Amino acid sequence: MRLLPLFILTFTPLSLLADQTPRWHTDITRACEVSRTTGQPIFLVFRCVR
Amino acid sequence: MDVARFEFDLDTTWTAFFIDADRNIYSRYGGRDESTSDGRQTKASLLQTMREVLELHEQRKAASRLLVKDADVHPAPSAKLTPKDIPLLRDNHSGCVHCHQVREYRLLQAFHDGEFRRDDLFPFPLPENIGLKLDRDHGHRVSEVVEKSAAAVEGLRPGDTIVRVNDVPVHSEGDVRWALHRAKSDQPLAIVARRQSPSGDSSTVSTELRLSANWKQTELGWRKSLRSVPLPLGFLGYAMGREERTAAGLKPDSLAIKVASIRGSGLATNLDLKKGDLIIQLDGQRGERTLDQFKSDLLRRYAPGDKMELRVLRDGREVSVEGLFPKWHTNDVSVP
Repeated sequence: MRLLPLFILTFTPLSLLADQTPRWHTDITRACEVSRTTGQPIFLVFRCVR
Repeated sequence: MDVARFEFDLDTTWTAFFIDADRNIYSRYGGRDESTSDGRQTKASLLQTMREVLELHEQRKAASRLLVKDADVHPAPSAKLTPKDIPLLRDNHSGCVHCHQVREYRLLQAFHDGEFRRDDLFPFPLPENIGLKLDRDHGHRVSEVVEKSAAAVEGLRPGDTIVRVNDVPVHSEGDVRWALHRAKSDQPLAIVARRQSPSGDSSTVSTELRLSANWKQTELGWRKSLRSVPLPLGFLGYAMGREERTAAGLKPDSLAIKVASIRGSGLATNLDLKKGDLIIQLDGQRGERTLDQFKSDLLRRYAPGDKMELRVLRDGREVSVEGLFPKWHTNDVSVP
């Protein structure tokens, strides 16, 4: 069984302002690790494809 | 995925969260209504929420761990819930689980466990339900207060920025809707707003809204999960097309639900509907509705045991049929 599809983006204020390419992850555990290391918050997206 | 912590409106096709590395939720962004799937989302409001979340994130990083306030983030549930924790889903579903299916299995599970409540039908109420229209390009600033609404009575004003609803800090319309979703329908709703004076000074306004009994109700016709609501219609039917309606002597924009066949028991048997009946009026309303919108209208108006009446065309004559709204029931244990 595959669970809910999700895409996770970590970003910084700088990346927003400078329009840098954000980093996408598909594993929330990995995204949390990156967030902890870099101090960036996480943008977590659920997208259901019907 | 923990669908208790990351609770969102499961009938939507897109929703987002802003979180920290400990999965504390700063804000929820997303949500729709019956008109369009994305009409309540704008780039400007997403950026507004992002700015506020980033500021909060930086503040929390700068504060010592002891000074970080739980009140700054969304309250977390006491227990985790994954789709596999729903017995009917675990036992009857294979393959990919769509978001709406999670909600449908929860509805079915609640019914079969004897825990289904009418309030469960109306998730994520709109801000308009409490009398607030929010600026689409901001997300949580009031653009209009509905006349005579609970919000108007308590003195909320256009220009106020909603910053808290009950225990939920607010940075988006999605936050307001989640707060309304988890609010007890029979208890006052605590709202904190920031108000700017003409001179630019900012003050905080705290108020409690006392809401009418059915304040959570919204249109359900667009929701995929509507098909799994335990309402036994007791008939198969469809909304007639415009040409058929005209041929039946009805206005092109009128209500016209055709009873194609009687199946089992439920609303149809309670009201003694017959195969071939054409439903043309519900509670005085004759406007055009799809079958799902008609079902939504029923659910918004009646609870099990309520007396109700429909007007139907039967053998060319308009007649009234009356009976009791049926008890909740479904035999379904799985979701297609």
